[in-house]
Amino acid sequence: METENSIFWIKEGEIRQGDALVLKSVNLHLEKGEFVYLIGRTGSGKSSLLKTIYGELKLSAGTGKVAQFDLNTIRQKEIPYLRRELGIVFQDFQLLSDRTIMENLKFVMRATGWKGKKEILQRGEEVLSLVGLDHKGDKMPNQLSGGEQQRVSIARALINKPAFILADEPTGNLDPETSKEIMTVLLAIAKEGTSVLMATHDLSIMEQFPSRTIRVDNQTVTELNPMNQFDPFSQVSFE
Amino acid sequence: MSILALEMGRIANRGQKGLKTAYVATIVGIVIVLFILGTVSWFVLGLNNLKDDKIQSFEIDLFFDNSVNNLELGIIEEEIAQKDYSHTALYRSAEEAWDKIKEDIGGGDTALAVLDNENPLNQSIVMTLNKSYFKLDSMKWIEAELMREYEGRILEVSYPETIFSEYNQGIQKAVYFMLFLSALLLFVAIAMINNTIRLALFSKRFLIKTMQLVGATPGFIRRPFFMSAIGQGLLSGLIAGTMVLGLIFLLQTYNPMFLNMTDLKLFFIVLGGIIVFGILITLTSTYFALRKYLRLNLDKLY
Repeated sequence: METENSIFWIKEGEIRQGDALVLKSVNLHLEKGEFVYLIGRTGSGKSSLLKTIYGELKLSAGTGKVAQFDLNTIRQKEIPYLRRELGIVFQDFQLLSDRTIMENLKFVMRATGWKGKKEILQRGEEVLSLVGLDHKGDKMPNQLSGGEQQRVSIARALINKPAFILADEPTGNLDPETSKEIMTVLLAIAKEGTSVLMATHDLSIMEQFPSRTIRVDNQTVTELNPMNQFDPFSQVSFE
Repeated sequence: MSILALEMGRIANRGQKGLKTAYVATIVGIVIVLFILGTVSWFVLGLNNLKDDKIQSFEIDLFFDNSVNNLELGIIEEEIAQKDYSHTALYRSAEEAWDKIKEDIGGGDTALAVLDNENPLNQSIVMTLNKSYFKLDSMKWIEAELMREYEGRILEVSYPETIFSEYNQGIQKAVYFMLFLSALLLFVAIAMINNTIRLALFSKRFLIKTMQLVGATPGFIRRPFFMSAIGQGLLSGLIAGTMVLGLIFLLQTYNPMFLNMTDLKLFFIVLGGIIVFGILITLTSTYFALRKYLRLNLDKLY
């Protein structure tokens, strides 16, 4: 399971929220450049799994690694550096509404230790052009459409050249057309070598862009069919 | 969507307003603490200054037998001046002492006529005490020591005993009360700072969550809070210092003694002290408040 190209893996992981067992025998790995869906009902433990990956929760048993960080022994002090290895994209964008797009990006760069005005500006323009938003840096978040705002938050996630992107229902607030647009961006990023783990409820998106899928259910995670042979409607039941 | 955004804006505004009030309340609280501390310390420092001057000019007479000659007394004077407990020691002849008494009593010869204008005094060495020996216990010991050392030549060590108790009591109770009051206020101020931090964290929770999730170090998140803590401490210290200065001048108009009690140097020591103390209060309580709230899972802050 653990290969040279692994961006992150968990072996026989167990996750608890306080005393309550949320997930057990979690076996999961992500290869460089892979695009993986993470599905599961609300309350299935999907959020807890994501929290474990970005260091908010610790593995209570089993082993796991994100980039060079060990998920069992990671110290509080190292968590900020773990988070710089992965870019997080939220359903609700989480842009700072009181400043321009470029200022949003600059803020993240300053918060993660970037120095030098020139480098900061250059990287800001780079990531904006990666998501197709060149020349939008001066706009305020509320002057952009939902899809554009989500692209900004993807750009923000890309700033520190993360090993992979963790997208938590990135299309949850968007209409189908805009969702497709966001998916294109995410798939392009994966193709460039940055893996993407995307939590979603959006079955039509999964049908249009089939890929490896992992389901959180019954207190564990299971891999659904091999890549590209997955019919969401036959295998996933949402009653 | 837009109604939601509007509502969220309104909530955020309310948070900002509450935060501003909390900041003002915090500063007022710290100013009061610092003002009381500043007044107390200025008072204590000033009184000490005054006391030291008074104490070190308080004369103790060592009367010597008139048979002891000048040369010998010159040596004794030198010896006493060298002692740890003496601040100064000066020879005074019987005539000088007699003149001084006459001068002190005034009225000239009438009151002293009973003595037939004959000098009843002996020659003496007038000693003033070092301030750290200005206690009745020490004085008794010094007396015994002198009587033993110059036995046969010294007649009497003369001083009024009550002076010692008068100097060392009195103001102390008032000072303790003021210090107790400021300790109480300090507690209130720290609670207010704690509350302000909580409000600030609450109104900036999205910002902080974003910072945490993109990998900002806790140090980076804390920095603006510390900066504002230093600002608050500085501002409070300056306001409180100005108030202490105002109080000094106000008291001065009633009784000029107050300004004599202190000099400007003393005031600047107090000012520096309360500014440093103000920053110390705000910084430490901010540190502890932040440590507590940043350790909380951010979900719990909502």
